[in-house]
Amino acid sequence: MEEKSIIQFDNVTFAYEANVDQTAAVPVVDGLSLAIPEGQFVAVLGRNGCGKSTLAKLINGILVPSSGRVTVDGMDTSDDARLIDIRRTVGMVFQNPDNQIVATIVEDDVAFGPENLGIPPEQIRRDVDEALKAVGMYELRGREPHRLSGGQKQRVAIAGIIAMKTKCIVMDEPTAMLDPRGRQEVMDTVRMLNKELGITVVLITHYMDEAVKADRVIVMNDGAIELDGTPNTVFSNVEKIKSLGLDVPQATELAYRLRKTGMNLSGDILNENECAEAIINALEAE
Amino acid sequence: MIKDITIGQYFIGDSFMHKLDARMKIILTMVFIVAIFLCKSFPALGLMVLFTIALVLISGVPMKMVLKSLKPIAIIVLFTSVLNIFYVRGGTELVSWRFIHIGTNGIFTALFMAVRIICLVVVSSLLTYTTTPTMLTDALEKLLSPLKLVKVPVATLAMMMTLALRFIPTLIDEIDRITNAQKARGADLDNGGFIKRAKALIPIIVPLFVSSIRRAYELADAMDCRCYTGGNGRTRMKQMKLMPRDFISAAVTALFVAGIIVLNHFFKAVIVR
Repeated sequence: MEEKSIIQFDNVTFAYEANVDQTAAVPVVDGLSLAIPEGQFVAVLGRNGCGKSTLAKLINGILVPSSGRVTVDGMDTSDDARLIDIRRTVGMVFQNPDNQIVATIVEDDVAFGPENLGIPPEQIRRDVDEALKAVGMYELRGREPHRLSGGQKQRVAIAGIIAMKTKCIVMDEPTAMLDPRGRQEVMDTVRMLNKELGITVVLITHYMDEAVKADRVIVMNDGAIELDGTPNTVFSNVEKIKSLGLDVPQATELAYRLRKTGMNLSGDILNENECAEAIINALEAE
Repeated sequence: MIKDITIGQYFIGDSFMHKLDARMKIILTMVFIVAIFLCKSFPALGLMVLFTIALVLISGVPMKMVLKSLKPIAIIVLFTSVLNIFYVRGGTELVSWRFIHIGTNGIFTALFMAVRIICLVVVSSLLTYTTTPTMLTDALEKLLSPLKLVKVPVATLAMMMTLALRFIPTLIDEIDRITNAQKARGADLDNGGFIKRAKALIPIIVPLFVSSIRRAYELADAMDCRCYTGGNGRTRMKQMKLMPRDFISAAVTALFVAGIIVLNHFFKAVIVR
């Protein structure tokens, strides 16, 4: 890849330590190589247990590869001396918003990261206000987190990372515990981060409609990358994706079935509009 | 419902007392408690009661709420008063019947004790009514920071307190969820004797512990990701600054203590302790 990659995996293998019952450790991530250029919005898909959460934790050094090398902006994650610098570069948002908020007031929580970095108070105030405005939570800055909805809590967690001014955010199923409205709020925020602030986003998700909005989709299976490309190219392999136990977006599914019945639909179809247009064109052509 | 619980007993308000620096409030509360036990004469006691009432009025906390905080100690007040009436001898003898002797000293001591305990509880609950738990924790961290010199991890302790406060509502939610789940599986939590009900709590406590430990792991990862390395080199967004009003309150409190001492000096002490 010609662009500078911010996250680089070189032949990375990771296995959790062997169980008490002496079964050999099965690698969760197996010989994986990957380069993510700065500013890209990458979605990672895969079934439960395919290693996508492990992949996320490998990126900022919560886990260190058993073999191979992970580098973030040129820093090796196995180098303890650079750990703080790595985490200033890559922030992480987890699935359960309740387990990542540390303070009893929204703005105090957003300030937690910058405070840890020893940034001067006036600067923290500015960064925190900016981050809260970016995720649309500024008005609720004085609230107690347990009075917020799931989507709002997750946005607070995201603001906590933005306030640290990281270049990259890794999100491990940030919408898995949210209702549809909360999911929408969080996805809008994620897209804004990527498009307006130019932050590299690695989004690990179960939802195909979220993955469609990314620049690049990676499908994982058994600790390795099965498919990697733009949403268009990845989701055109409908059969392959289904064989991996995943779904394709509904519009793609519909187009796939119509094609199977012999209807001549052109182009890659990822959303309702594209699907409707293709069907209209096909019907007019007949 | 559970979403509405307030952590601690903070009463949302915007009074002079709410705006005071939490460190100053803690120190002044302690000074006041010492002053309470300096009162030995009736005029001094009167001054203290007036001062306490004035504090309640300034705080803007409704009298009803303040009285509510006295409820749990009503029995203690009653008990100590009754004991004092019978045990403290001396003064003019009022009742003398077989082994029961009640003198003026006993009655005065009982009265002083009751008033002192009530004032003590009222003033210290004003502190928690007008200060958020977060502010209290921060203030304690600052006040205890000299202990860092003798290697007490003050910042870490304060962080632990903050996290404990933060997770109270989360864990209450969790208990609720587990209780419902166990009830749905047929657990009987409301019937039976004490032992039976205590045993019925086991299927709630065990999952609660398991999930708390899992939460703790996730929280630790999240804190790691946000570069938490303990208290060293941390800055704080909210800086505590002493304002003129803090010095005014300190001066007023000092005057009050001086008043108590003067009144004690000029009027006869009615109790020994």
